Amino acid sequence: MGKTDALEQKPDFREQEIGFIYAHRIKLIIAILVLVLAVGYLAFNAWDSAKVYYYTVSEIKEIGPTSEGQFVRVSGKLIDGTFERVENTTLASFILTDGTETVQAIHQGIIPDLFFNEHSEIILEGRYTQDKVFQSKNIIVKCPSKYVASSS
Amino acid sequence: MAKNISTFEIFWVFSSITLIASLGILFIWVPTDANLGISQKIFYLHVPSAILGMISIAIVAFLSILYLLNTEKKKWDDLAYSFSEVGMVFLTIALISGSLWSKPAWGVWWTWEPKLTLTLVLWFIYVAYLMMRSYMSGSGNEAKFGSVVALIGAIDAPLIYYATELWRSAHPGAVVGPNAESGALDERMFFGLIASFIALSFMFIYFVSNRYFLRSTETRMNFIVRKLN
Repeated sequence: MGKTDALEQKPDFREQEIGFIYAHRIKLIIAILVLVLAVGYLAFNAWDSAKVYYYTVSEIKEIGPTSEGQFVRVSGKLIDGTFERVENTTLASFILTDGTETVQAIHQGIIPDLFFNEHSEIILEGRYTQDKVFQSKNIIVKCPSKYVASSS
Repeated sequence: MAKNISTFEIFWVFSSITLIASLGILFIWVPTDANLGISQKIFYLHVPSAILGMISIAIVAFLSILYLLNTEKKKWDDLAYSFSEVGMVFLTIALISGSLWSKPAWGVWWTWEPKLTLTLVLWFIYVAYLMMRSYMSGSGNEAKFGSVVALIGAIDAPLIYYATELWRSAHPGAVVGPNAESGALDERMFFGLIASFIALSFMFIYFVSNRYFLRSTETRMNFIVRKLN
């Protein structure tokens, strides 16, 4: 019996909550509006750099050098025999192509396993500098969306 | 309502047998990929769990609509909730296995490309769904508000599937379903994928049925408590 009394004394939170929401409706609408505008403004500003995941080699040539601190991605295929590594360093240079244009790129660091696969497309993250060289910070290898059995 | 849980226990048996069988198939009979090597085996866990995670949010949305049409039918909401919890687990498996695979295959653990980003968005929608329902629990509105979140999530699922078509991305294109290129998958690999999908589906159904049994019991108990009040 004591238990039932305690339960009855519990205030009805739901009614209170709804009353609160109605009384503060204007404030709530303003808060939501401000939030939507803020997010919208940020989205609008970010749109230019975020609408494509990567540029093709031709596009990056057209856009030209990127400003200081701006990161871009460029995608292309490695041209056979252009890969060179500076002796005893992890600095590498190579040329990417999209079939029509080519871009000289340098990369400092580890090269992923599938980098030299003839089917792989390579996406570089970094800066396109004034001297027409793409300085890559990260390499992402886009593997072919085909899976084939190894012959061995 | 699920009156007797033992009817679902059969799925435990199904999933155990098919999981062991699919492991055998995948590691003995299915060939290794020519380009990616052994890391491609992650594919057989990654793809089915991603599919189940995406299908799950669509089912949650569908059941939510059924519930909204008749809010007296609490069982649709209980079932939707059960699917959402298990679906989130499978989507989490897809994200983690994908990340583990992308390091050896792409060279990075994560990249902000469309398909990955949209999948993470879906994961956050699951989190929002479960968190909001947990916070609002007992208010009587949690099922209705949850339905709205589930419907937004259901819009995201097809976007994830078509992401590689709609935008430039790093993720490989679809290998199964209506958007797949023909010949994208070796025949034996396709069979391996189906085997693994069936096994994981049984596991999925087993988890959902158990969660639903528990959830409907919770609902009935809450009903009794309210009556006592």
